[in-house]
Amino acid sequence: MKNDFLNDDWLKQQLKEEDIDNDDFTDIVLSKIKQTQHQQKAFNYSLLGCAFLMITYFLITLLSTTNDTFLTAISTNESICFGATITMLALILSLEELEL
Amino acid sequence: MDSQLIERVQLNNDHHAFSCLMRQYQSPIRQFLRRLVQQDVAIADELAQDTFLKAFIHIKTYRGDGKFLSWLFKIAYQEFISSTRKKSDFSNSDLVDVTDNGNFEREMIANQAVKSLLKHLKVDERAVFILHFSHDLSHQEVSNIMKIPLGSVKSLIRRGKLKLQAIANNNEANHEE
Repeated sequence: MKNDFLNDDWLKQQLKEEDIDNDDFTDIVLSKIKQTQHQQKAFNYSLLGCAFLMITYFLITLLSTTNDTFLTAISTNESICFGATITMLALILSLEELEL
Repeated sequence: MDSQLIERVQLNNDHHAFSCLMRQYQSPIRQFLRRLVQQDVAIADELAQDTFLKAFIHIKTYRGDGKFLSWLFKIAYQEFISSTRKKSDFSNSDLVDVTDNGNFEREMIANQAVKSLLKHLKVDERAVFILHFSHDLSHQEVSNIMKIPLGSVKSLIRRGKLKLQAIANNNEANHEE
C-alpha cells in the first residue's frame, strides 16, 4: 500500500486502535489503590492522634493554670477553651472527610 | 451503564465498579501511552497504572460533562508530560533529526507501519496524531485533553502530516538512487 500521509482515512486505517489484553493490569492497579488507601488511612489516624493530643494539652493547661474549680477555670481561660472547642469541632467535621 | 459505575465509585469508593471501568478503558489508555512513549512498554504500562490510580483518587472531580475516556486521556497525557519532565529519556526522541535515514530507511523497507514512524514526530504532534487518528477523537476533544487551543491542534496535525510525508518522499528518492 502506498504511503499517503496527507490522507486522513489512510492515516486512520494505519493507526487504528488495537486491543490490548487486560492480563493482570486491573489487579495491579487495584492493589496499588488499596495500598494508597491504607497509607492515607494511616496518615489520617496519625492526624487524628495529634489532634487528640492537642486537645488534651489544652485541657491540662486549663486545669493546671488554676487552683479553682473546673467551671471557674473555664470561665477565666476563655481563649484556651475557645481553642479547644474549635479544634474539637474541626476534628468532628473532618471525620467524614478523613474517611475513617 | 458507565455513569452508574462512576457514581458507585464516587459515592462508595467501590473497587468492583472501578475494576469494571478499568477493564473497559485499559486498552485505549495503554495503547495511547505505548505509542506516546514509543518502544518502552513497561514505562507506558506504569504510566497507565498511575493514570488509573489518579483517576480513582480524583474521580469525584469528574462531573460527567464529557466522555469518561476523554477525562482518562487527559490524566494520561498529564502523567506522560510530568514523567518527561522528570526523565530526560523521552525528550531525546524529540531531538531525532527527520532527515536522518539510518534506521528509518530500514524501518520503511521492512515495515510500512506508520505507528513505528511516529517517533519521528515531536511529543505534542505525536499525541495529537494518536488521539485524532487512532482513537478517533475530534479536534475539539483533543484540544480539551491537551489543554491547547483548537487552532494549535489543527496546525500540529498538518505539520505532522507534512513532516511524515516529507520523510517518506525523501526516503523513496534515496531508495530509488
